[in-house]
This record gives sequence, structure tokens and C-alpha cells, in this order.
Amino acid sequence: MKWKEYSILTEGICVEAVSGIFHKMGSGGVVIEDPQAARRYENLEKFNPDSVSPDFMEHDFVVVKAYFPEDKKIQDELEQFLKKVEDNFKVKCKIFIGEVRDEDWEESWKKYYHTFKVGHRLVIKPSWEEYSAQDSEVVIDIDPGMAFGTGIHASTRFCLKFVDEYIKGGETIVDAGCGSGILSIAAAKLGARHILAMDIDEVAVRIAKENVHLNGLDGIIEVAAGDIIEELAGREIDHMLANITAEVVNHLIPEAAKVLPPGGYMFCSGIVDSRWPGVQKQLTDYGFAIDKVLTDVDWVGVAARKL
Amino acid sequence: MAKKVMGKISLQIQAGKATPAPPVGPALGQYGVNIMGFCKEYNAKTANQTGFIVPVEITVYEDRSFSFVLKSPPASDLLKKAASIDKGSGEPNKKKVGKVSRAKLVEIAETKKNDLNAADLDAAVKMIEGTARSMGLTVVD
Repeated sequence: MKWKEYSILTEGICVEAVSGIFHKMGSGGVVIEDPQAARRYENLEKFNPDSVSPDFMEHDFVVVKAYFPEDKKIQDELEQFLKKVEDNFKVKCKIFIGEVRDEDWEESWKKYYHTFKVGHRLVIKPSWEEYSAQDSEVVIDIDPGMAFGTGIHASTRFCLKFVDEYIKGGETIVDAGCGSGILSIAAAKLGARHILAMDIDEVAVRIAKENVHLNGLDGIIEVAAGDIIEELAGREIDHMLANITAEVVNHLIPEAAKVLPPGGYMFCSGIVDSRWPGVQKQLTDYGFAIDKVLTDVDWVGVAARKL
Repeated sequence: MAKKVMGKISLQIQAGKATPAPPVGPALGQYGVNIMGFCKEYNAKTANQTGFIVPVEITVYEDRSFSFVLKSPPASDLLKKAASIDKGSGEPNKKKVGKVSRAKLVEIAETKKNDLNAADLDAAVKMIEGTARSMGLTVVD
């Protein structure tokens, strides 16, 4: 998809007004590049920007950027609003229009994503890298694309560690909010018998299917889009993976409690520490024992056993 | 030792609804940050503020990891609330959509003082006042 990037070069005093215009016009957000703000950090944190020109740091102007689909005509309206800002603040607002495409940023982070090990057995390998497995290592090929689940984020790492520790082979598992499919693939490679991987995001479902295929696990992992709660009804499963958010996890706990047998695990992650007490209470209320809690800065992951 | 900082990114986006689409994608992509990782964190931490714009300042480190702090709501949102309007005027030059008192402007400036590019409270008030007028609000004493 092609986008038009509207950059408004102006003075710091009218940043909020220009941002307000873009919000009102439905940009879905703005980016503010403020060298004055950046300069405040220069000495504090060894600030050394490599993607802004040194000239930029010297200036006093600010750039407010917003993006609109290429075919959306907004320029006249934008100019009219900016005129008002110029009159009110007695400043100049200069418009620059550029073009960007989705692919300009979709691939950029890949340069910094490399093979790494999680837990005792798992090795996460970007599909474009080479790696020779040692001894008992289990290698997972992954191209997360624009789906969540590179394995780097604390919430995914927690679940990978749980999978590494608890999956012994032969289990039936549901992966709620599968993202790139990384957790399902890890579980399948460690011997799980059948996995239903679901996501409400169509992009994630497509990418998860590609990754499942890449790892040769089409027969074991079933990827589907849709409502996990409907799918859960009447199923017999051994464990459930839920790396989503505290809200969704809390919503899923009562359903998981219905389908998990005593001794079955619910692995919950994506929980910000301030929400952990609520999740903990929900788990306890629905008959789960907290087996293991992993934390990293402000994230919490938990392995909860059905009593 | 503290990690070296590569960049600072300021965004004003919808709480709980960050996606890799612009502006998040291009803003973070230029630094090589894992875009989905940011979206997941931001959405988890702003889930209880859905419906509001929650500005965020992101610090990108040398290894492309990042941290962020959430900021006070944009001035335009606070002004809309103060004037009890849904949105600013579609034609700010012709139509006035509401009123806001000077005392309220000072209150908003106080709230946002630390997040604004303003030298002191006076400058912050001027910034808020100009924003109000640009939205088609009349400032009353």
C-alpha cells in the first residue's frame, strides 16, 4: 500500500495545534520530530542519533508528520487549517509531501533479528539465516513478517520457556492469539500431537500458516481465524497457551477452566505487572494453582495448573 | 553501563490500537525497531484508556531494543473535553464551535507543562491558547 507523508515544518509553540489538526482529519496518529526535545537528551544518555542529520539537531524548528492513504485528497483542507494556525501563532507552517510504501518499513527491523536460544532446547532461527543444530537442540524456523512473535519480546520468551519445560510429547494444545505461530511450532517440534492455533488477525493467520509449512508441521498444527471461545466448547485439550493481554487472558480463564483436565496447564503471558494481581485472582477463583511465574522488568508470564 | 541511545521518537496515537500501519510503522521502521513488539507493549499498557489518544515517547537503543514512557493527552483532546465538544470546527476560520475559559487554559497548561516544548508556564499557556483558537474555540476571560 502507498501512503502520502505530510510533514509540517514549523515552530515548537504550535506543535499541539498542528497535531490536533491531523488527529481531526483522521490521520490515526502523528509523529513529532523535535530537535529541542532531542537535545535535552544529548548529554544525558549519550544520545547519538544515526538517522537524523546533524543539521536537524541544530535547528529550532519542529516537524509534525502524519500519513494518509495515497488517494485521499486532504491538501486543501490541511492548508486551510494550517492558515489558521499561522495566523494564531504568527508562525510559518511549511508543508512537505513525500511518499512511502508499506515495504519501506516492514523489512527494516530484520537486520537486527538473529538466531538465539531460549530455554534448554529451543533455538529460534530467522528463516533467512543458517544454523547447525547441536545435540538436543530443536530449531524453529520463523519469518514473523508483520505478525507478533519473534521470540524476543519477554512475553513470547516466557511462553517458549514454559513450552520447553512442560511439553513432554503427545499433548493436544490450543494456542490462543498465535501471532507468527512461534509457540505452536515450538510445542509441535517438542512432540505435541495436535495444536489448534488461532488469531483474530487475518495477517497473523496467513503468516502462521506460512511458518507452520516452513517447519513441515502442516499435519500437526491447524491454523484458523476466529473466535477461540466458540472453538473451545466441547474440545478435549491438555494445555492452553494464551500470550495476549491481561484483559483477554482474564476472559479466557473461565473457558479454559471448563475444558482443561486436572493437571492441564494454562500458560498465560502478555500481562503487564500492574494487571498481574487481577489475573492471579481470576486463576485462583477458577481452580488453578500457580505453578511458576516468570518476570522481566514490567512483564509477567505464568504457568497455571488446573486442580 | 547504560545502553547507548540511538533515537527518540514521539508519537500521538490511539490507546490500545497501535498497528504497524503509519504512523507507527515508518516512525519505528527507520530505526530498525521491532514494530509489532512495540505495538503489543503499547496496547497492553494503554488498554484501560481506549478511546483516548495517549502520546508516547520512545527511546531506541543501539541494539534496537526500546523503552517508552506514556505522556499526558494531547492539548486538542483536553480542550475538546474542557469545551464539551466532540470535535473541532470543520471550518475554523468561519465557525466557532465552543468556548473555553482562560482559567481552563492555564489548568491544561499546568497539566501538560512537562510534556510541552515550552520554556515556562506563560509559553505553555500561549501554546494551549493558540491551539484552542486554531480549533475554532473562543477564549473567554
